[in-house]
Amino acid sequence: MDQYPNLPDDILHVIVNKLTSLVCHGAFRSVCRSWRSFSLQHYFYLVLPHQPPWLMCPKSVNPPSRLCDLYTLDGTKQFFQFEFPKGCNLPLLFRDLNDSRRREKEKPKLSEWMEMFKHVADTSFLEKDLNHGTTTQFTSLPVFHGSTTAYLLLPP
Amino acid sequence: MSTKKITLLSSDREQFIVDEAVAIQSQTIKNLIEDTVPDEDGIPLPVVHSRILAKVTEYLTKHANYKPHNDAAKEELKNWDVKFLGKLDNNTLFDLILAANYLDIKGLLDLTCQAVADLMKGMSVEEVRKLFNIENDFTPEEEEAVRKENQWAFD
Repeated sequence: MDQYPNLPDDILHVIVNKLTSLVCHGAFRSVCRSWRSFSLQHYFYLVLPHQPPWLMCPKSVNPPSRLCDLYTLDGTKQFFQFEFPKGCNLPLLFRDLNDSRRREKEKPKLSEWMEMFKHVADTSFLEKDLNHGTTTQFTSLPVFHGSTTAYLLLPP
Repeated sequence: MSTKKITLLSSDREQFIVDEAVAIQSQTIKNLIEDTVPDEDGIPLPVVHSRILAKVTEYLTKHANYKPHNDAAKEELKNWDVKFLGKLDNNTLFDLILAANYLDIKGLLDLTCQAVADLMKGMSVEEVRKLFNIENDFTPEEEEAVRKENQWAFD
């Protein structure tokens, strides 16, 4: 009767990739040890069809909006909208994102990012920030309508 | 047009006779046909019970004989898949996932894994455990870590 926790990893992988909401994924990781040990550190990264890095821009941070623009930076260069599920504690989520960006070892190569951004926006105003090493928070990217803050989400 | 018949043998030695075109949608069966000398009773599939193999062949037969040529036909096949899934209890669904994985049938694996993911939508952790009959095996320390992780996802 305890068969589900013992699903082989490759099957769990297929299931996880079909989970479409953040809450689903949180639930998945919280079920039992084997499901948890399978799932990646940041389940946030698994809910969308493209691999990070992503640029994420909440429609508004204060007050927090559940609606975000996402831009994939993995070469596919696609925009899509993502809505956090109801019940998300958004202020806490954004705080976590701010914390996670401090992982020093994960800093991207700045020149590479600049190249990727160039075709979506005038990046001159970003350069200063990037050169100061604050690689994950940008202000007022014009292409993201209504956004005041953008987060760069790196692979876990 | 090949109408060659293939006999599949379930773990409980029940025979399933299907068209070759139906059977070879399973990459595993295709390889077995090519690479092994068949048992005189059929191709043995020692990890698939007849109860599950019946479902697998039902799925394969539908999908082999039904090549959607327009949107309406695709829609109909999709509806058939939904009905097919609707008739499964959770244990059968689980066994079918394992069988699809073993038999290497991508369409069926996708379909059944999507069903599991759909079942979990909007469920609490406790509900997921109950649905899949999973015991909470976290230590109190791990439980605390789980709680913290979910803090931002749930009010």
